[in-house]
Amino acid sequence: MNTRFRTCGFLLIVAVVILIGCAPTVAPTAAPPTTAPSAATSAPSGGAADFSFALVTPNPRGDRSFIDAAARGAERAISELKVKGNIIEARVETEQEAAVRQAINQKYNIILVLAPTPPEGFVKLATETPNQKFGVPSDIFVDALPDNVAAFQINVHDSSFLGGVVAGLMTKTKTVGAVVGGDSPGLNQFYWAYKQGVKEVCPDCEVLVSYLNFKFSDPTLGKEAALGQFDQGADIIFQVAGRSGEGVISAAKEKGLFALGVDSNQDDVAPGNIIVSVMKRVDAATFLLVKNALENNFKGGFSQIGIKDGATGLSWDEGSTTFATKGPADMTAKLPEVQAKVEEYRAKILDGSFVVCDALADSVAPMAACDSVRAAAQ
Amino acid sequence: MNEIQISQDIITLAVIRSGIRLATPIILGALGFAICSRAGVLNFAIEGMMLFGAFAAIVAAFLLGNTYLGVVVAILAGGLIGAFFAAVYLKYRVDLVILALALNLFIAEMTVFFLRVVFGAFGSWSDPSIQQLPEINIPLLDQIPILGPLLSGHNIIVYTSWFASFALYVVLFHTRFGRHIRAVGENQSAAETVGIDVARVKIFVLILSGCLAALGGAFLSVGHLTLFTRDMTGGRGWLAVTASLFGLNHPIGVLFTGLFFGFADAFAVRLQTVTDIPPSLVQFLPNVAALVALVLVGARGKLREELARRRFRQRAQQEVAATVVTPAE
Repeated sequence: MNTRFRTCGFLLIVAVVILIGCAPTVAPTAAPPTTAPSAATSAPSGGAADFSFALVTPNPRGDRSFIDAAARGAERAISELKVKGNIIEARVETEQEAAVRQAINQKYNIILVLAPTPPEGFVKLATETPNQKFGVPSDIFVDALPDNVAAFQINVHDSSFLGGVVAGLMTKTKTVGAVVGGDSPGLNQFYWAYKQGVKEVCPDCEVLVSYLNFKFSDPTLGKEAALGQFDQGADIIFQVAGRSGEGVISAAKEKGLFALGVDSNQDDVAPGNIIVSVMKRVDAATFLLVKNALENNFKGGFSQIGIKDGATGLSWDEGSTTFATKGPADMTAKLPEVQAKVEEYRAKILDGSFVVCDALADSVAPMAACDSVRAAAQ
Repeated sequence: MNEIQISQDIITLAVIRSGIRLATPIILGALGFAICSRAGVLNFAIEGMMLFGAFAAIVAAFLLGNTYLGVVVAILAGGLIGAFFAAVYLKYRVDLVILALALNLFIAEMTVFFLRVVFGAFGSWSDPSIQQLPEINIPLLDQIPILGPLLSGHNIIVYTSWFASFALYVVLFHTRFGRHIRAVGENQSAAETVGIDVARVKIFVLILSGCLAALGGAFLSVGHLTLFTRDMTGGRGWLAVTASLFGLNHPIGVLFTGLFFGFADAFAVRLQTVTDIPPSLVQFLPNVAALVALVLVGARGKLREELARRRFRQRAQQEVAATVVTPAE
């Protein structure tokens, strides 16, 4: 018994020593496959040829949402700005920081870090390397940033308002719904503005809301919430709930009713059931960061971008006609009139004559535009 | 008047049907946990087994082109996981909790891996060719006014979950094999002494538990939706464990606690749209109910133990008194 115990202990020590011994040699060789550059393009010639950037994503591509969008923006920058760029995909969030550290050694002109996890770790890393420029296309939630980090916050309220205008004009039952991931300012930025949009064009419409208690990967719950709202007479539901939103789309398909897409262009997920998608253009933010750095316009700190910068909008803006061709005839007949109304409001928002409620800003300093939706929401 | 109106808006047919759907995977998972507990096996791998069932069902439904076959494959796959669990547990004496946690983690990552390697999908996967399980209208029953629309028109897995509750009750309490299962759970060495094959009983309950949990998972991926997303069980396996404990590991009790959790979820979603109660509070309440229930269940066990101890002490005192009296005579 004693010898067996000793043998086990010895083997354990050997194993630990081997692991420790291997670590430094294994890490550099093993890292490239996990963080393989998937889009490396060398620029032909010109002043931009010396410029290079890297995009480090928190997860692999293929989420049909913001990571794919950021990768699209990076590819657009590579082809349009004729710069060198690498997309580095971390396998999981916890490997993102290691990938950023490696990228620092490669002397890129700017390193874009999408949704840094954890943000505090990233801020610390950026503080340690003040000569390296960093950009965050979207989703960093910290109070302060060092001077070498430029971060975008994409405000979605204006485009969500336009989504609400669409829903308010298209509803036949005068009841629309929203299935929202959770009750937080970031998510209410979508919902409150949407509600304001519905009420603006249809004052006697009712807006139902179901919060999912921050369950973003529970399509079953999303579907039941949507079925409940359809049962209460809603015919269009705006889903802002990550993968739980897939359940809302499934419910719309089953009932032959309608949903609105979110973040990226989801019109083709259920052709004919998704009227329009409210887009959060992470690709535009990514492109802009590269462009600014290339043109020496790099500016550290937070920048708010929104509909004015083309960072948000509707899927119709980029020419999506899925609903126009696949939707039911009585609904598509309304489209020209609806689209005209959307453009009318867009113009008013852009020239500043109409203010949309921004729940994020409202959480810092109360906004007058939020009074109507906030009072009802709480 | 206003309150009556609100209660009518909340308790509608649609909400109850929604509750029945949300309860189904919980009931099936809880039955799986209950039967294992009855045999003294702590099966915390319900969550993983359920997720595996969800994955197997949709992949098989896609490859075989038939959703019912997909469900059958899911049940078999769940049984296989149960058999694997039993083999590792009985042969290598691995700690049950550690084994279950390892299995949960392994399955969660494995589904993601295969989704990516085989279908090139990342977060979620679906295919338009996959048909959802059809709803079944029960002939005579669907004619009855209220019961008809309430109980008729669910899919096969919903009915199976109800049937399984009663079947397990009969097996556990009215058959010889059921007595063997309970004997193993209550006192393993005593069961061994009277010649019950303990290993066989444990293998059986683990396989059955895997089948039931996987069927619950199949309900999620092909019975309710036609898509798979990573971690789509969303903690329902753990809720099933709670429901089983809450239902005292009794199949009929489990049926009702499972329905309780399902209704609680459905009402929580509905309450938000008809009242001004803050949503976070509404979603918090079922969990509070579960916590209170578990405390009561625990207290009940303690109380029983205490009563038994007191009875024992009384009897011992009587016996002592008796023995003291006897020699005096």
